[in-house]
Amino acid sequence: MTGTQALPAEATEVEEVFEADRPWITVVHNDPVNLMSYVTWVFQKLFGYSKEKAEKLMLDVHHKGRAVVSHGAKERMEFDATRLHGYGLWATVEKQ
Amino acid sequence: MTFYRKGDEIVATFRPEEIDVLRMVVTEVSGLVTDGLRADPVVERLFPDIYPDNPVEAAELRRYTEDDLKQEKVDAAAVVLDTLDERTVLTEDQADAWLRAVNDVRLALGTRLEINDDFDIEEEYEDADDERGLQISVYGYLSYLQESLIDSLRQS
Repeated sequence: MTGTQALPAEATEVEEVFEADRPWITVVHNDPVNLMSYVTWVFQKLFGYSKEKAEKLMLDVHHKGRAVVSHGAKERMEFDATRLHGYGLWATVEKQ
Repeated sequence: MTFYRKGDEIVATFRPEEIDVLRMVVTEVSGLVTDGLRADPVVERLFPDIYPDNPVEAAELRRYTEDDLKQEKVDAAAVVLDTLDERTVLTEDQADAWLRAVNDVRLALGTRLEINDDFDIEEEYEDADDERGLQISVYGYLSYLQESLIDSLRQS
């Protein structure tokens, strides 16, 4: 019986971890000043993305107005957005 | 002024008048970062809200992040002012500081000039008075400088 009682508790814990780790995203918004080459460079530098992935995200920002550049725990996203502000990109954090 | 890579270094030569203009605009924006008012659209652009739909949470977070972010921007501007010379030689880290500082100036000028997606730099320059014309030409110059820095950083 102990085992079966432990199961729901574990399941809840896993859910909580998932809830805490995943549902926040860092969004970069389009702006008329930042150069395309610069935005690509910053994505590569800050997130270690390949040039191809960084360019695709940059083009999403440019054409769709925004792109999700990272996801994870809330504090981590706040850290990412602040680093992006250090490079002058317009970044916000929201719940996925 | 065109940056190029020489081994581990990023190098460019500047004319005295380029040095004067760069010094002036970088110093000006660094001053705004330190002393600018929150209501100034340039300050707003340099320090955007992380939670635009939640001003209370955005302000709370700002209390923890803004001092460091300001310091980072002031330090980057100081790297430009310290290294800028007729022959400028940069490490990759210094070149990164240049990119950030030059970009802050571009953002400031872009905000003052009210640049939008339809902004045609040559057309705007034709129609501008002296002061606006000067700002537009500095903006164009800094865009070229930034592209050149990125190109040289990408060379290996």
